[in-house]
Amino acid sequence: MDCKEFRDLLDLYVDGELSSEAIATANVHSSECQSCRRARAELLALRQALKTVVARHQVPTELVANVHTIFRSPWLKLLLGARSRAVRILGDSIRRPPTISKSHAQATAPLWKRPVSLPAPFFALLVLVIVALFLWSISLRSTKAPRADLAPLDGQTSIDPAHRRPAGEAFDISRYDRGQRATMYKVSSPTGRSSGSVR
Amino acid sequence: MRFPWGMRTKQFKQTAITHLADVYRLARQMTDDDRAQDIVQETYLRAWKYFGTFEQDTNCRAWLFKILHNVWADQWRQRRLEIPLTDKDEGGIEPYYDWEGEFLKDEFSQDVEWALSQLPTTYRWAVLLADVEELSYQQIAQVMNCPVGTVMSRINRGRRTLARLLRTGGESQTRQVDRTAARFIGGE
Repeated sequence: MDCKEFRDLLDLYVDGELSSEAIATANVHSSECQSCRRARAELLALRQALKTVVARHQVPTELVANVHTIFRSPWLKLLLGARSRAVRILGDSIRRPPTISKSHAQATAPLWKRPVSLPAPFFALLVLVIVALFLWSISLRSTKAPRADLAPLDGQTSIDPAHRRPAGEAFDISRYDRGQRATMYKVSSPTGRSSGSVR
Repeated sequence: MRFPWGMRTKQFKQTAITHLADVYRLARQMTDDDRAQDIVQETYLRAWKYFGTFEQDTNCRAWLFKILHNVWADQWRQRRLEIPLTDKDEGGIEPYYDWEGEFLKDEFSQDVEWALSQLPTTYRWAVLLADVEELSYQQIAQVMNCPVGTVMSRINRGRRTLARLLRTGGESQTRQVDRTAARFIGGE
């Protein structure tokens, strides 16, 4: 092996990609040729310098924490995500100043103008609650509305406390009867004795 | 191969998370700190997603480097911040290594860091994977998704370019003129 061949194979020689026979031949030449031996030493020094340069950078702690969140359980992620969002919405505007990465408009906007993101399940739950409240309010209104055929004939729409019948007096149903005799009315006075007609 | 959730997490911690430092350091050589962290996070997201396809008896570090390279390439294509290197041989590269005792100095590391940052990214990937991570040429070919011959060429050119940058970057003008004169006299 001459110097030209050695230099051509120097990369593979240093990287351990040569066959055992080629390595043996290169070793022999390296021991005999000072120039080639020096070239090999310099290349190894360059490799060591590269390793030293790369090893200077330490892994940031926040990166370690962020990577560990990747394989958390999805429920824990959802819970922690909701909690962190709540903390961010309520707390960031008070405690922490806007970061450089946020746009200026978003950082200076009032709290109610800032975009709020909710996960889909929470949003669906919120919609269901609103719809349920709406339906319940409708049902309440329908049960509370007074029936027209039971309205008093004398125009009295509500019971005036001054006109409330004293206890013991018979309950006069004719005030509420428009001529259409109900099939069954059974009323009793506050004293407990039944009165009125049953038809 | 699918694992139950807890076992999968444990396997992932034992096999993939242990290489976090190596992955970050490699990414850090390709870009600045903020982007390197984004790239590393995206790498581990993909690794977690496809962990079921990873064969347990193979090299997890090389697998992570492959994902890292793909993530970096995707982001590079989106940004197109660097002009891709052509295959044309650069003028001024000597046929032999001209190692003349420049690389055993104590202040070599700073020059190396600068020269590494000047190296084209395809060469930088090849040199770092070979010299720092000590992957085989076959593994580097899988990481960079190219033939082994291309890997050899990139490593060779990368080292030559690195040597030239170190030589021209640290040398004084006077010494450079003397060397040029010597070559001319020597008939090279």
